[in-house]
Amino acid sequence: MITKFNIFLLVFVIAIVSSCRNNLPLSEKVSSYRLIDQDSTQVTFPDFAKGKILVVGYIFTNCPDVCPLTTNNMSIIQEKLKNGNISGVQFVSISFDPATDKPSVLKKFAEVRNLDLSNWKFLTGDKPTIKKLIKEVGVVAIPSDSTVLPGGSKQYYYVHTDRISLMDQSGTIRKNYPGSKIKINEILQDIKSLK
Amino acid sequence: MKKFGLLFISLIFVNLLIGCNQEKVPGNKAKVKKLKNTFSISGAWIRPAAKNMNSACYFEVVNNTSKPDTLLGAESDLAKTVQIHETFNSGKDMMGMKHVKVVPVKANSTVQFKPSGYHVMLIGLNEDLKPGDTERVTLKFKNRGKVVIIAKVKNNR
Repeated sequence: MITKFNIFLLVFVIAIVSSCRNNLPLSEKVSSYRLIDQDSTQVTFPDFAKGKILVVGYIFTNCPDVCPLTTNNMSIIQEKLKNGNISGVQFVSISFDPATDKPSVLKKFAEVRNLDLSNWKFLTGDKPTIKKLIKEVGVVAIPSDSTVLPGGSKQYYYVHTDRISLMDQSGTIRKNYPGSKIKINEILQDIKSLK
Repeated sequence: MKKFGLLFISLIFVNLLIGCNQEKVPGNKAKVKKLKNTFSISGAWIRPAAKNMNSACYFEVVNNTSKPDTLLGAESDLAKTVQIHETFNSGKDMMGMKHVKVVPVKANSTVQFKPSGYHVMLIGLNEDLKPGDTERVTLKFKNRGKVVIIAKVKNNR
């Protein structure tokens, strides 16, 4: 006999199961892109990290506020994983400003912050490749405000998507987070659930 | 009987705690009195960044006076250009930044320069700013004039 209580129980269980599944709501496979890292080594993203979980941030190095926050958050996640003896996670920061962010610029950006590059790559590429990549992953970057420096050179700033993505071992995006405001414990739990 | 004993000891303990708190109160009041009628800049820090790149300086302007003021700008030998900027969220997690000419500081108010908000932007750094360094930035106020702040370079959220 089906009682009201049994129906309630069934609905409750379904709700719990579906909420668990929504922990990682996305399943977007990313195409392969030939990029270049901070040491000027060619890298095929995301294939180079196949078998590893990827934490990917999108930045431009002229950004003084949001992108350093995103980078700092990634550094905190990296350290927490290290302290928790959780391996098999690769960190990647991709520049959407390839005209400025040459490999040497990315290297300096990482070095001055004392970042641990043992499992972290900073990637850039040619303009068409970066444009195609950020379009595929849903990152928008629009040049907006600018500053003219003494000497006449002009520096552009972007209005851009504030993004850290979590990709699984097959290079599929499983979840996006606001990079500068990410809840560290949330992504740590999500990484653990992919192990 | 044993229960009464425990209750008695608990009451004494609670009383002692309250007593401790009461002793702290005059000290706090004195501290508040000291802060009245002051205008101060506190908690200044700068993000690390490499030469020729950009950084941001953050701090808090605490105006405990009855007179308003206005931050007109900033200057520093650290960078080729120094401007006040504000980060904004234009929806759907789209973040941007704009140049702000002045920042009003109302009477009896605090204005925070913090990540994802107002910041003094150091554009085109003349040298690397490394964690642990200590640097000077000068803030220019309409009424108070120039105020030099000392800021520590650090990674922070």
